[in-house]
Amino acid sequence: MKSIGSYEHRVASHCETGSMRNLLVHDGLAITEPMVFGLGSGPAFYYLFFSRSHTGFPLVGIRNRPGSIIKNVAGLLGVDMFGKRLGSPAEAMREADRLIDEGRPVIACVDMFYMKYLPQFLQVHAPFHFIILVGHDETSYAVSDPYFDCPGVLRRSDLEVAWDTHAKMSQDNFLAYARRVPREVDWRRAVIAGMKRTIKGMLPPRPVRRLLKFVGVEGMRMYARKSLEWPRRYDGHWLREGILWNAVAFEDQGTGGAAFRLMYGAFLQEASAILGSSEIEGLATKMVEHGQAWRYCSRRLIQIGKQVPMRDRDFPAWIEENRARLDEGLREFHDLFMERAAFEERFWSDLEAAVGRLGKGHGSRR
Amino acid sequence: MLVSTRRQSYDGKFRLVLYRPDAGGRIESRLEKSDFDEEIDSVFALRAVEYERLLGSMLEGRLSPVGFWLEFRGMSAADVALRPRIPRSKVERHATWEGWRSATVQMLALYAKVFDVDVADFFQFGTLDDGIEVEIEIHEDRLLQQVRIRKAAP
Repeated sequence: MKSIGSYEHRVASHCETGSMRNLLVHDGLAITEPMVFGLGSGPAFYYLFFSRSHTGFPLVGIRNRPGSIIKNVAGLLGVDMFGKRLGSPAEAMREADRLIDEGRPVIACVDMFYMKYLPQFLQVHAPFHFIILVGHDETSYAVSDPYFDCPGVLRRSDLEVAWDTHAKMSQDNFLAYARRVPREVDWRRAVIAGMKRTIKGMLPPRPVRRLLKFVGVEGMRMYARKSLEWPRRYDGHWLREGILWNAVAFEDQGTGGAAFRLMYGAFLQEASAILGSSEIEGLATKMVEHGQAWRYCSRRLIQIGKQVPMRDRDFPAWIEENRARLDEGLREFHDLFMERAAFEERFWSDLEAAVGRLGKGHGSRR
Repeated sequence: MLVSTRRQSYDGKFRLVLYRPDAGGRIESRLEKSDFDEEIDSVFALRAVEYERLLGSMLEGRLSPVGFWLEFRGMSAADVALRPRIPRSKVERHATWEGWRSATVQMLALYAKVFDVDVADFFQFGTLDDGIEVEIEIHEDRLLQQVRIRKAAP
């Protein structure tokens, strides 16, 4: 297979941040995954009560909209990036082939379900999975997928379906590549702008918060409140899978742990060095502690979910006997998660104040 | 569809990049096994239980093969309908035995793509004993399936 020889595959915890980092590093810009995440204003929380996951539970978003990280990072770093949804998979593949032949790695947004090289438990319908195409022949593509520790091989027929799903939240035939990556970057300016945008997303202005109660910190509170209703809204294996899935999505679905909060802590540590700010360093430490506490919440969810029997026929007798215990467990989870929401409300305000104090200083390039 | 009687299990080999604080509080990324391996394994366990439950429902006539795959893949009728751009009501109808009988081969080929199966997988649900190996080749855009069954290499 014809592949881009100079491309080096690297794993990452998240597909979009990992793909963007790998692309920028390939083009000569030294950048880490947490830096991509921070500049991309990744942290978010959405309790999408109007949209259901495969378990029947409402969808919970813990990062910004797919594709925004690439767009935000390119904007802040001054990367000349081509990113477009093409008309058909055939057109997208023709373009990808041409770019690979020119030695340019190509980012594609696909449905993870069809990525056959991944372990089976990761083959779920997620039509917003980012990969990099780095080689091709008549039948297949060489794929650099940040979730997999070596380059994978994907048949053209699988890419064709995965690239053009028409599914909700999909970006059919989306293809991106870097036309020009700057050699010099004003990191200080980029880091401050990235933090400001994140704060705005997590703590929107009060009137917006009142209106959109499912977004940001208010969304976290809504999620915690709704968790108390799960035993009355769901039953059988769906209740078990829904609870477990929430925890696994926070921890293992490409988040780096604690719903991306630990990765954001790593970004803040890096940012504090760039800004020379001990205040940001202190906030980074708090974010890491928050991440650890979030992981504890996930662990509690797993303990609760695992109590629920796997077989539907065992459920009625089990719930009859264990309803009080289940309610008590979820009450504890609710209280823990409310604490996380209160922390984030304080944290984003503190970060806003700290960023404000940094002012418009200059310098610090690396 | 040919399913092995041996339950798939998560072998714990998959590693993912996790961010962890070191003793000094500095966050580092490490490629390591997940803390939640057991939960990942329970996904396979649940799939096996689900397979049996859904197969039972189908054999009792409460679910058509389209309904089987829809539920087994954890999708909603709305999600399936969006993909090949067919009305949701049609998907819901095809998920029942009455509606299934009127589904065309062309329609089944569209579903097959979404569920990532072959059209033949709507018509047979087989079980493979240990020691048997199957090789499947797909032709004509999932419409034709060539199957080779042989003794597994020791």
